[in-house]
Formats: sequence, C-alpha cells, structure tokens
Amino acid sequence: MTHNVTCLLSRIFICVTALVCVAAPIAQTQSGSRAPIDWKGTVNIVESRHSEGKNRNDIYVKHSAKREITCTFDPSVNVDGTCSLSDFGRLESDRGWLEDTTEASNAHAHIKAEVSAGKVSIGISGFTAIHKLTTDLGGATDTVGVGPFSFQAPATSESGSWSDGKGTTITWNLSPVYGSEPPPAQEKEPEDKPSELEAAFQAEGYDDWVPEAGEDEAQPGNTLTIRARVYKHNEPAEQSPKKARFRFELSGVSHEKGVCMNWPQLVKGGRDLKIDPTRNLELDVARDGMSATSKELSYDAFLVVTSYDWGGWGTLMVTAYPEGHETVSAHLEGNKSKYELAIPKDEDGNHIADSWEDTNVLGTAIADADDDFAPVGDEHQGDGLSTYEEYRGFRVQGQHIRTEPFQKDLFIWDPSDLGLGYFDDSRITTRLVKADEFDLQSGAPNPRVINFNRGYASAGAQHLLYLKNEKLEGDYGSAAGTGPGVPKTCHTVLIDRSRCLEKDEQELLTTIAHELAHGCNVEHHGDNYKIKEWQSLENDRKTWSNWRPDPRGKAADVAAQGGEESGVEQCIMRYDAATFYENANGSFRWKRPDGTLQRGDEYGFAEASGNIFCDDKKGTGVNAPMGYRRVSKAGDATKGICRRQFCVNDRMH
Amino acid sequence: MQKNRPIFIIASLLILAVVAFFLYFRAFRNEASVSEPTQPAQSSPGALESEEVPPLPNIALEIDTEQELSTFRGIPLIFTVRVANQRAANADVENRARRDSIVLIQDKAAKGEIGADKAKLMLALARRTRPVRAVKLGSPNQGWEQFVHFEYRKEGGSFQRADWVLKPVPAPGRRSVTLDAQARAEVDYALPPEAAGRLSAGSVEVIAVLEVPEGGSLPQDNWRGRVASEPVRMKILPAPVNPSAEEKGTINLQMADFYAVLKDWPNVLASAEEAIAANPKLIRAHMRAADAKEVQGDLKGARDAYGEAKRLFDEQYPNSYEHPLFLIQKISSLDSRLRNR
Repeated sequence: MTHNVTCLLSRIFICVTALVCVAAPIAQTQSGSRAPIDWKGTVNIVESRHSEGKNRNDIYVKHSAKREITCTFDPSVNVDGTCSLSDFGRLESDRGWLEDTTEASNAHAHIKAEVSAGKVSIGISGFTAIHKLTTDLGGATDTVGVGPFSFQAPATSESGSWSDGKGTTITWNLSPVYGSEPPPAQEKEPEDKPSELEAAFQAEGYDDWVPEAGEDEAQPGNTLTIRARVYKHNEPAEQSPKKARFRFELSGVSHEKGVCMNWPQLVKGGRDLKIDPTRNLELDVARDGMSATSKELSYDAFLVVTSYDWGGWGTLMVTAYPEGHETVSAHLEGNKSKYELAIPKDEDGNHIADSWEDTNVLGTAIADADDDFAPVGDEHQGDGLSTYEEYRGFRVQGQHIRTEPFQKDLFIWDPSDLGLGYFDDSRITTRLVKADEFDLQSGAPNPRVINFNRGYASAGAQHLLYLKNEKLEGDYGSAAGTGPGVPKTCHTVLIDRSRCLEKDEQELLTTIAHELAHGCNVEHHGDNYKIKEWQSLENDRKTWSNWRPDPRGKAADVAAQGGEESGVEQCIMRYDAATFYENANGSFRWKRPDGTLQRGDEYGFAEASGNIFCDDKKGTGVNAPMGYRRVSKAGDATKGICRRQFCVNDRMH
Repeated sequence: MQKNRPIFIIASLLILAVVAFFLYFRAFRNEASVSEPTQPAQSSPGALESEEVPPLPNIALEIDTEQELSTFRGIPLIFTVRVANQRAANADVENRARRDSIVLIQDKAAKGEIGADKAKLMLALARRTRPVRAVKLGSPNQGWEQFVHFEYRKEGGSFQRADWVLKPVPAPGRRSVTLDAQARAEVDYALPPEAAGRLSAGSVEVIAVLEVPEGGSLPQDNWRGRVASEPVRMKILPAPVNPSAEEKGTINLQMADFYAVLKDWPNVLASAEEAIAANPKLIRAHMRAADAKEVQGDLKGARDAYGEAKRLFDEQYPNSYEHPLFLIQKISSLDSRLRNR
C-alpha cells in the first residue's frame, strides 16, 4: 500500500544473544576462600554487520553498520549491568533515498552476569537497536545480526575477548566484589556443651505468602517477616541462658528481568528478594542486601525480606552466634531437619509459590508447561505462556494480573481504541495492553513480544496482535502478514473503520473479529474463483450474449459452492458479497478455472454481517438448501467450524 | 366453647394458610433473587476483589487516521480523538471467557480427563467475575470533548500545550458518555490549511490529553484525572516548490480526505480528480471520487469510479487474501440502484 507516499519508517532489529562462560578461578582470590557476591567492570560489544535484501516494495537495499555498546556493572545493583549505545555507525545503502535516523534511546542491551561454583557466566540478550529509514517508497523491515549464539571463553581470567568471526566482538573485564562479614567466630568456652543451645526461625503468614513487586525494580513490593530465636536445647519454651547475634543469609535468589513478564522495559535487572536496610534497622545489612547480622545480642531477632518481583524466589538460612558459645544453625520451628526456608513456600521446588498452586493448579505445577485448554480451538494446548509466566503475571492497562493456567490468553495492542468487536465470541481471554506493556524484539514478521522479560521456565517468545485503524484500498480489513496464522506471523491487523461504518456499525464489529481471527489461524470458509468474462441470457432467455469482460473490474468474483460465502450465514468468517453466485438455472454463464461452463446469477445485495464464529460446516440462511431463490447460494462450507480453528500459541503452526 | 369450635378451626386454618403463603412467597422471592443477574460492579462472593482495578478511560489520537505520518506544510489535517475503556473491555471479555469454560471443564471432568477435585477448583475459578467499571465523562452542560487538549514536543524537547486552531467537525452528538466495555466516543478536529501552513517543518510528536480536574460543576460520578494518548509521530516537510506527480497525487488525496470529513463533496471530487490526474493508479483517489459522485447523485459516475478502483485493486493485489468487499458491495448496490431508476 503506497497511499501514504511520504516518509515511512523502517526498523531494523538487531538482536544478539550471547553467552560467555568464563571458567574463572573465583574460589582463590584476594579474599581467601570467600566467594564473591558480585562483580564490577565492563562488557563491550562491537558489531559490524552487512545486510542486504528487499523491502516491501520489492526494492533491493543494502545496509552496512557498525555499532558499539558498553555495559557497566555497578556492584550496588548486583549482577546486572546497564548499557548504552555509542558510536552508532551510519547506515549505508545503494539507494540514495535512505536516511539513517537511528535513535540511541531506542537501542539497548541487557547484560547479566551470574556467579556459580567455579565460573562466571555472562549473558547478553535483547541487544536491540531501532533504525528509522526514511524513504518515499515505503518502509522496509530488515533484520541485521544473528543470534542466539554461544561460545567458550578462555578459562584463565575474568578479562578476555571473543569474536564470532562474522563481525561481532565481545570483550569483558570484571573483578569480584565481596559481601558483609559474618560475626567473628567465638572461642568455645570449656564449660559450654555444644548441645546446650538451639536456634529456630519461622515466617509470619508463610503458607499463604506470594511475592509481589512495586512499580519497578527499584520499588519494594510486599514483605515477609521472619523471627529467629535461641532457646535451651530441646526445650523450646525455655529461655536461652545466653543471648546471641543472628545472621540471616539469602541465597539462590532469582534475578528475573523486570518485575513481571512485560514490565518494565529497558531494565537493569536485580535480585528479586532483598534485605532492605530501611526495614531492618536492628540489623547490619550487607551492601548487596543478601545478608544481615543483628547489631545487638538478644534472645531473638526479626528479619524483613522484601520482594522486588512478582515471581521471585530464594532461600534463607539463619545462624545464631551466642555469646561465648559456638555457632548454632537455626532450623525451622517444629522441624529440626529443615535448615533452609524456601521463599516463597515451595515444597516442590518449581519456583512457583505453593499457595498459588493450591488455588490455581491443585498440586504440583510444571513450571515450563503450557497446557491451557480453554477454549479448545484447534486442540493445540497452550497460549505460548508457561505456567511460571502465567504465575509471574503481566501488567495490563497499568495493573498487574496473574493469568490463569487453563484459560488461553491473547494480548492485543489497540492504540486506536477500535475495540474487539465480536471477537469475544472466540471465548479467548483477550487482554488489551498499552504501548509500554510489550516490546519490539526479534522474530519477524511480527516483532511485538509480550513476554519480553522472560527467563526462567519460558516457553519462548509470544507475540501480541496489533490492531490498527487504516485507510484501506477497497477492503474493510486485512490481517497483514503471511495469511492466517498464529500471532507471530501477523504483523498488523488493519481495519478501515470509516469504510466499515459507511455500511453499518455491525460491519465494523464483524470486521474487527474477522481480522483478529485470521491472526489466530482461522481461515475463510473456502475458496472462490475469479472470471474474466461471462455471457448473459438475452432475447427473453433464449440466446446467450457474446462473451463480455466484466465491466466492474479486472476480474469478477464468483461465490463458489463451498467457497468464501458458504456455510453458516451468521459466521464472522464468512464473506457476504461477491459479483456472481453459482445457480444451475441462472441467467449468466462463465467458464470455471477447469474450463467447464457454469451458470449463475448476480450475487445482489450483501447479507447482514456475521456475529458468531460457527460450529458447523452446514449452510444456513441463504446457504441452506433452497435458502435463496430456491437454491443454496454457496452451499456447505469447505472449511467452516471456525470455532475449532483458533490457535493463539506461537509455537504451533 | 363448643359453639366456638368451628370458628377456632377456621381461624387456625386461615392462620396456617397465611403462614404457608408467607413462607412460600419468601422462598419464591429468594429463588428469584438467586436467578437475577448480579450487578458486576459490586462485591459478590465470586468477585476478584483482590484484583479489582479502578476505572480508567483510554484516549486515542490519530492524525489523518495515522499514528506515524509525513505531511507537507499547509496540508490540512484531521485529528481524531477517541475515548474508550479498555479496562472494562478486558474485564468483560475475561468474564465471558470464564463463563464459557464452565461447560468445557464439566465435560472434561465427566470424561475423567481431569479429577473431581481439580474440576471443582477450576469451576470455582471459572465462576469468579471481575468487576466491569464504567467511566462517565461530561455532562449535558459540559461536553466531554471540552476536557480534551493537545500537546506536542519537538525532537529532544518536552511536551507543551498546543495552541493550534482545531475545530470539532461536527460537534460531537453526545455531550456525556458512559464508557463501558463496548461504548466509545469520538470527535474529529480539523486543522484547516491556513493553520497547517503555520506549523514549522520538522519532526514532532503530538498527544491528546483528557484532563478532568477535581471539583467543578460536573456530576460527582464523573471520572476525574488525566490520561494521555500514545504519541502520533508527525514529520512536517516544507511544501514542495515543484511537486512531482506522485507528490501531487498524495497532496490532493490528503485534501480529498480532509474535505470528506467536512462533507464538502464538491471539493472532495475536485481534489480527488486532481489526484487521479497526477497519479491514476491511486486506488483511494478513485474511491474518493466515487464517494463524492454518489452523494451528488451521479450514480453511474460513482459506479464507474468504484469499478476502476476495483480493477486497480485486482491489478495491484492479485494475491490478496482479502477481497475488496467494500468495493464489491458498493458496485452491486449502485448497479441495483441504476437498474431500478
């Protein structure tokens, strides 16, 4: 469509995902045997790419670009770095009309370093830059760069470099940072017996606690309070003869990107559970918020753990340092064999809170399963979102929701406020989101990803549908993409609102539902054919006229039996207009594509637009036997049963 | 006493009948009240109270139906502002999807595909409802559009209130609107050529803002607050001194679209014909010419113009999955009208 023959936008999405595994000897550093809890330094990516291809107007274009991105690790935000683009090279092209207007603000990368036993892993993801190419011949969508890829780096140091040999070079220089010191070990007094003291902890409202986040990664969410105490060994009701300091340590804390699956964008990332100093005034809290020690000796101490993610998890351990006594590891109140507290309560270890499982799954959920079954649709289960992702939830119209693991969800961006029309008859749970609640990522032809903060137990990228008002060139609507398919294949759902309303309000509601359904893999009821010429009965229906080209266009559309106009008359997916329909007694005739003669009549006025998705192939209304002038206008549908064609899962089809 | 016995019996029977009738009536009323549809707005046992969200309107802005466009200085523009309630739409669709899943869950339970306990849990989830909160805007004395203004920013700048002369065309019919899951309201604003000529060239982002201040004379149940649309990115180019044929086509088609919103059909036709003269392959220019001809009574001219648009569509989009239904319907309708003249 070149009706808007001025500057259009072209976007180049560069997505590079890299994984650097540095087998660094972190156990033996300047701090002896302590493991670093954090890292600082920089990671630098230089990418030079050359790409060529055709834009949507079939114009051949070439691009060359050099980009550099630097990520700085700040120890105070743990292991995630912030990144900014610099020195973006100008795009070059073999067409003089290309103009590079790269916006650095739209370019970002997310680089995450993870520390585990014996090695450092650096993950680079979402390396995305958006270029705007100005052209008077229409926009081009092109993908430059490759990914994901991974490599093994030199195993000797925390500095190094790597190149893929295709233009991408990554260099890094990281050094370890260490956390707060535990209290000094006490000299064991000869008269003390190791079994004299016991320590235990418990969390308030633990069974029902589910993590919640604040507005963004910097804002605190809900909290869990843990009380630890010392008492006489085997006598929980007896006060301890000694006071103690208590040390609380969080470990295995998640650092999922963002606070939920789609909020916020362009985030640094950070640990999802922390010990916040402002909420733990009686504790000395380590800079990284992962450990804290009570300032004073006491019989008990309280710890407040703050959540920064709707799906965070971690493990808490408590150690008591009694005065003049050897250290005592605290166990869970009432359970002497349990020295770790999973936060949230997670008996099955799938990082999904048990209380959510109890009310949404009943039993153990498989975190990466995607088995939503309602509505049935084409019987492919799932909506492209794993159980963990549904649990972690989404931001929808500014509010966080956890979705249900058995209901299929479809996300839609409708910046024109067109509405969903009759699409609710699909019985899919649609969720209209705002522009900042999805992200542009790799995955052409539809770059709009809803679960862009995915990490743990993801089923992969799931796309939303973009519903857009557009002045079209003769049709009411169009699902722009590769034809009917799952959301990832549908670039934009276009609706010509004013043309629909020229017919009536119902046409608008039907067209929106019809085109959205194409974005969920629903097809038309069948196929029509076109004819270039026809004859009509003349002289009181006695002779056929000469062959005439259709005056109403290059070709006339025939509503074939079993074609687009066939099936249930009220179905949204059924066409309700054509030039001719087939009728053995009709006063026109033409040659079918196979060369046989076919009689028929003019289609006449369109029927009322549909308002349901059909459950059957059987023709009804004008398509019923004898339904229109004693014939069936287009017969039973070839495909039909539209309700059983829906699929919103990007991994299918 | 003996004498009064029948009276006692009759009186007792009467009392019993009254009590029975009262009990029956109460039971009947209770039954009726159960079957009444519950108001979604208020708390019911199955409501998702913890997930309840306050009402919030959405405001959308399109300039010449676009969210990204390039235009020349001096070309008139149509700003379309639409208000809706997407939170309500989400809640409504979610409730419908839940309700519709009940039968499916029951079927699965009956077939043994899910256990009885799990089915019970799922049915409980499916029977929950999310409150659908409507948003009320405006009053008979103060139309909702009076609370709309536009802001713009140039590259790197911050948004500032626009002082453009924009006139509603026509004035919106409904001054107060209740935005529920389906309802929406819109108003078009025209930026006439002389005002468009005063815009400076360059890139600009424009937003529409709905801002209803606290207090005021609006009814208490009106929504108050501020919401802004997604920005429309507009590139204003200097008017070309010697426009190419393609540019002439584009400019005149934009003019035709503008006059169509104003329902100034003679100017629609004149602009569309100039666009066609400059670029005969512009399908929408033929459609605009046909619109104007039809309104002005030239049915044959309209039929031919729509026919030419369809011919161009078939030529330019031979493999289009969607057929030009608008054109096919228009042509059929005009053919019929021409035959019945």
